[in-house]
Order: sequence, then structure tokens, then C-alpha cells
Amino acid sequence: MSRTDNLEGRVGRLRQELVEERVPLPIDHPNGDRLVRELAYALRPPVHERRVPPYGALVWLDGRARFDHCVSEPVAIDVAGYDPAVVRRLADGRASFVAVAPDGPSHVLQFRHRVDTEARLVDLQETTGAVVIARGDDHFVRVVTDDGVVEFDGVRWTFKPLAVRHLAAIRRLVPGADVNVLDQLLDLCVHWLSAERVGATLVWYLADVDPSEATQVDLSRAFVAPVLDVGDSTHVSALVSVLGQVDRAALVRPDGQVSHIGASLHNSARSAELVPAFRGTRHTSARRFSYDEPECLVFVVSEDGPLTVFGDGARMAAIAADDCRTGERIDAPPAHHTDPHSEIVIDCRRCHRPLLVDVVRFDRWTGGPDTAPCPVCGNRIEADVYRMAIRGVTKTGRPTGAGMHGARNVSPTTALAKPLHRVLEEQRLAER
Amino acid sequence: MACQHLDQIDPDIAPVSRNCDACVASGDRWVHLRMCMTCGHVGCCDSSVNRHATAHVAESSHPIVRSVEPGEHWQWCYLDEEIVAG
Repeated sequence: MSRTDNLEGRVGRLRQELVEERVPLPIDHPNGDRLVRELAYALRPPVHERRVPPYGALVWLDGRARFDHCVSEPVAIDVAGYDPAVVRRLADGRASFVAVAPDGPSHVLQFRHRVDTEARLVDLQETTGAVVIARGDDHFVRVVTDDGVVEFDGVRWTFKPLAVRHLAAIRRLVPGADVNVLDQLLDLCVHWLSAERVGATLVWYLADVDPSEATQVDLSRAFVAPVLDVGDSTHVSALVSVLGQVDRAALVRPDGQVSHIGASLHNSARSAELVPAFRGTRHTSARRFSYDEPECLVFVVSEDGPLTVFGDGARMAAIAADDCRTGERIDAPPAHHTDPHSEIVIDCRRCHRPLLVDVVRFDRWTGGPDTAPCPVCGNRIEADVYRMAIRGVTKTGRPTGAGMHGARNVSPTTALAKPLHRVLEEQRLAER
Repeated sequence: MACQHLDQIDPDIAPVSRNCDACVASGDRWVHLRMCMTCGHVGCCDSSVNRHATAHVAESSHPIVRSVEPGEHWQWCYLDEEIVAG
């Protein structure tokens, strides 16, 4: 039996495994077998002199191979008509990849530099539209789709959504934030720091604030960074390097420029009382700091991978690689298609944060109000609706004059529920 | 082609439960909930292990369900296999 026959046999078994393990890959696409075939090869390439070679492929499920806008401008070697078994041996998954169109391998793409980090593979996917497969030197096999990064470590399949998939959900809570900087910060945290297991804390100020005047920031052991910008791809290596060598937080200006590295974050007695601990000291401190300093978002990357984004003491996003089979969420959160009448703002009576809530209402529902815990302080929030889901603390819907730390006399929670569009309208009127 | 089963939607329908009662009975969990637009039955979606919403359609021949996830409004006709305007 030839190697090709072996590969074809493995395609069927792998397809079955991908279904059973709930691996979110587009294998049901009419050209899905092409993807499964390249993945089967990447999982078990022919061993030569006891060495398992790396491998890489870009698979286009629709249309021809398109790499005109590809990162790093590869040299494309035409391989149409050659034996695929030969062509695959040219692709090392570091700087050379087989380009596989629906009608078969068409080119070998040769890059001038290695592109095998997770971040570069994601760039490759985004600039080509292809599904990117890479078997690395660590023998992990990574598959990047426009949904996320699937990884097989030899034992289990995991899935991590692309950073960009969380952009809309965070922007919904912080619509005034610079979307480009937010995008770049998420990309840095998820596809650089998290992928390389570099623990870090980044505080992104949403407005120009002098950190030396912020009461909860201690700059005594911090240093002012040379010009480092989270949005400049040429600064990323330096940023990852320095963040991997400093325990404390990096402060980022609204435009993405890093102002200080090594800042200590403190918490007020109020936040320590209101905001529960979350994971270890670093996460808890960051979470409470974000309550004390509502003009910022705090990004915490664990050394074991997960990214948590905090704002106003609440967790705004959590991005981690989940086991495909057992993970609670194996896909990125859905885009929220809301209408103005199904989203409301409720002010928490305990922590006084305005919560953005999606609701479902039925006039004839008689089962009573729904409740959910406040994502900041855990207080039970009640609304007279069929179902509710608290999306987080909205920085748009902050009621005018709401004190950050001071107590406010508030009426019962249900009476405070307002449609978001009405909150915005009131804010506009107040600003006139 | 427009859905031919809109006449089976009860405009005054309300859900009979806030849970997938069949999953509650068996001790299972669900991902999302769907409501039958004819009788108000609430069952779990096809991403859930038990797919009780689809099972209800098969048992009852009620063709249209809607999502009852907060923030979602879409309806789905099983017979036409298409999204129905909400």
C-alpha cells in the first residue's frame, strides 16, 4: 500500500475523530476533505531517520489560492502537476507552506522569515483567508481558521477564539474606546503573550490621566519605557520581552503608547469590601483596581495562558484555550444583534455600577421576574422580564452624577431599569 | 421563498417555562433555549446534548421556534429550513 493510500485511510478516521471531539473546523464544507487531508498529513508526516518533520499548509476551501496581500510577501513556486507527496516535503511550516486550492496543491509559498508563531499564523490566516495548518518544532499541530486557533498537543484538542472575536462584545460596553488600540491590545495579549505563556498585566487608560496623580498607582519602582506602542508590530518583540521580565503592570495611554512599566496597583478599602477575589493575588488586585479606577481597562495574562479583561471591577472578557470536547464554550461569543428595546441599563444598588442587560420579554409571562448576580459585587439583580443576561458594566450608560465610591440613594432596582437608548438620550440632553 | 407556516404562530404566545424542563428532569445541562411559537414549549437547542426543542417539533409537528436567549429575536421554521422574520 502506498503512502497516499495510507493518508486516504487516515482522512476518514480523522474526520470521525474531529466530529467526536467536537473540534470546530469547517470539515462539512464541500471541500472539507481537502482540509482534513492536509491535517491528517500534519498529524503524522512520514518519519525520516527517526525525525518527525514539521509541516505547513494554507488551505483555501473556496476559490483560488490568494496570497497577494499575504504577510511578509512570500515567493510563490508553482507546483501544479507535481506529486503532492513530493510537494509536501518542501513545506516546513516555519517559512514555507503548501498552498492548497480546491483543485489541489498549486504553489509552495516561501517566506523570507519564519512565520510560525501563533500571532504570525493568525496574521497569515487574516491576510489570505485560508485555513492555516502548521506542525511546529514542538510537535503541536495548530490550525487557524477565521474563528480561532485549534491545537492538538498529541493528546487533546483545544480551541481558542481569535482575539478579534471578542472585540465587538467589549466595544459594546466601552463604545468610546479607540477600536484600533483595543484590537491591538487584545491581539498582543491573546496571540503573543498568552501563546508564549508570558504572564503580564496591562492597564489601558481610556482617557488622558496622569498616573503619578492616580491614588491607586504606585510608580516608585516603575520605569518610563522608551517609545513602545502596542499598535506598532515592530515593537511587539520588545514589549513581550520586557513584560516577561517584570512582575508589575505596564500602563498604556489611550493612543496605545506604553508610558510606564513596573507600576504597582493598589486597592481601596471600598473595592476590597465590594469586589470579590478572583483567582490569585494578581487577578484579584487587577479586578479591584479596575473598580477603583473606572477610566481604564485592565488586561491580565496568566502564565498558563488565559487572558482576563477587567473593567469597573467586572470581568469583561475571558479568552482561553478550552478542551474542545469538555469545554463549556467551544466557540467565540456570538455577535450580539440587539434592538434598543431588548437592552436595558440597571444600576446595581450595592456597587452603583450601571449594568448593560439583554432581556427577553413576553407580555403574558406569569413566571415572575428573572434574577442574575451583579458581575461586580455579586448582588442579586432583579428585572421584571422573562429572561435576562447581564453583559457587563457599561461605560456609556453611567448615570450622570453617580459617585464612584460614595453611597447613593437609589430606588428599587427594577425601577432603575431603563432602555439604553433612553439613557443615551438623557445623557445627550444633559450635555447640551 | 417566504415561509408558508406563519399561520401556526400564536402572536400572544408565552413560554411555559424558563428552563428546559426535560433537561431539568434528567439532570442534564443545556446551551441555549428555544420556544415553540405554537404552544410555548421550551426546549434545549441543537448544540445541547438532548436537543429537546427539535424533538418537540418532531412529536408535535409545530414547525416554528424562536430563540429565547436574551438579545436574540430570530425564529426558525423546521419545515422550510429558514429564518423567519420575527
